[in-house]
Amino acid sequence: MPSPTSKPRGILPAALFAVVTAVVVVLGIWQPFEPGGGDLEIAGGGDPVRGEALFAESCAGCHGEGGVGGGGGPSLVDSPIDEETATRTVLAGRGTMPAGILGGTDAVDVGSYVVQISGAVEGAVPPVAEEPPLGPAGEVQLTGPRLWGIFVSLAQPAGATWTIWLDGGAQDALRVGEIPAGQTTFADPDLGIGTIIDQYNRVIIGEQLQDFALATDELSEARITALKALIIGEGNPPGANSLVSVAGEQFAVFSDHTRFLVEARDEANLANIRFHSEHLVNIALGAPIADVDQNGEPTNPGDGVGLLGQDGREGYLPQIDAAAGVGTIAPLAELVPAVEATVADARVCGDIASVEAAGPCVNAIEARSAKLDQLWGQVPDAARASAVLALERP
Amino acid sequence: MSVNVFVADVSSGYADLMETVFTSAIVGKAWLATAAIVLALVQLLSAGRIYGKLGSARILSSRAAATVHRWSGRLAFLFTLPIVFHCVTILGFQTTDTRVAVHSVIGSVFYGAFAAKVLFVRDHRYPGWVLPVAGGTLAALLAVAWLSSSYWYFTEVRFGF
Repeated sequence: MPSPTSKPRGILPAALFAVVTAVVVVLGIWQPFEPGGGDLEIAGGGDPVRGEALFAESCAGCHGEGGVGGGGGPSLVDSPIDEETATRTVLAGRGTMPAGILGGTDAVDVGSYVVQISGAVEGAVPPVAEEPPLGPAGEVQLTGPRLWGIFVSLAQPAGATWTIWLDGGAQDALRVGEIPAGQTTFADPDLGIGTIIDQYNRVIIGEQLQDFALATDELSEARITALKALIIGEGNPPGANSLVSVAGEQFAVFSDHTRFLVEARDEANLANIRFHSEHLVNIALGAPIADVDQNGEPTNPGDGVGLLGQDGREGYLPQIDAAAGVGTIAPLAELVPAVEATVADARVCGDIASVEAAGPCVNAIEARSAKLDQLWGQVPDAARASAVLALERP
Repeated sequence: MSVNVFVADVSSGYADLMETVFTSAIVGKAWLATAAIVLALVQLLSAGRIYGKLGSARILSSRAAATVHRWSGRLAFLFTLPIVFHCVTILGFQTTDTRVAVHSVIGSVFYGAFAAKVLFVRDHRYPGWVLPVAGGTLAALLAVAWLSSSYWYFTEVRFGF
């Protein structure tokens, strides 16, 4: 212990600092325990079999099982690399890959394995994974009447805790939630941001960082426009003038006039049989409306667009089919021919000469009406179900 | 490929030791550094108590605070030893990007600052302001070292054991 009366030497702390720092810097430059450092010498190789097991444990999270990529890090397959470079990369890191994930012979063995799968060794056959690479391919369903929520469904269980982001390009990615390891689904009926596709067009599933996607999909601008037209509509209240909503109103009018036609038959009212038959035809086909009952006045209680349309002009049902993706809404495959059949029967009834003669065509329309209502009832849900993103490995 | 057996054994033994607790040596390093930064916070608080700067927020007596300060410092130093072994002797001084360069520089001067601070603790002839300044500087260096390594690893690469 120095005497408390003597003066401290100002240079001593500075010298101590300088010496210790210099020792650390020298050690840092020397790296005496870096296995891939100056003592590295190419003379045969590490153990690729052990390296494969170590790779699966410590590297596959980013580089994918078998190094095929897809976990945020690049694919290592068919990217020839020499053993020294591979081992040095494992030890020292590269880019966003941290240094020191593995050390010692572990790094050497992994380096040897990476050389094998990289295709750098002539005749070397990359080890084939016993099972298909685990990946989070699956789909993301936007849910709810106004697409406020999401339901994520993976084809295979998450290999670790996987995080879900929404990305909108113009703004920061939104972290939505996580799928725990071993699970396949995530659901949130309301993310609290309103209609998701108003702000975001891309879903990313990744491990910790959205920049390294394990799986992703993006809705094109045209697809978003179509989905908005189909499900959301424009203006206020949202959804009130969407294709599904407006078509539903027209379908209700169509159903009403089916009922009016049956009542006219029951009342033996020929004029009304012809009149409501004309309405059914014109509600279904839209403009130009026809004077089916030939009373000199073509009438249409609908909005003129028609459920089917005509003369190359699309009615509501073809518009819904196109907006959702042709063939996506399964009930339309039955609904459209059924409406066409009703139109054909209504043309007969609209120009019928007697109540008795109208029997078969009215009966056919009546018999078909319950099925039509049932099929239409499935369309709104099926339309919303078309708001789906198919997750794929990037 | 043949690698110097001693070097391989030492670095492999170190990795094996870390992997008895953590999934990898680098994860272990990140958590040990986090423990050290928590203890550095304890150091700051206990030093504040010793110097009577905590006002009414005094949980410990000055003597107890001194004991806590000494032991939290010893523990923090202990936790940094595997880190310095890994960082300095295996990974070495690197400047691949700004983060790595900052971490390398800060990490290199940290032990120099630590040695100087210990000197100030032992030698009471220095002015009274020297020791707290040295301690604060040391804590700040550790904080930057932690932010440029563990925090980065936990937020950008992986958070877990």
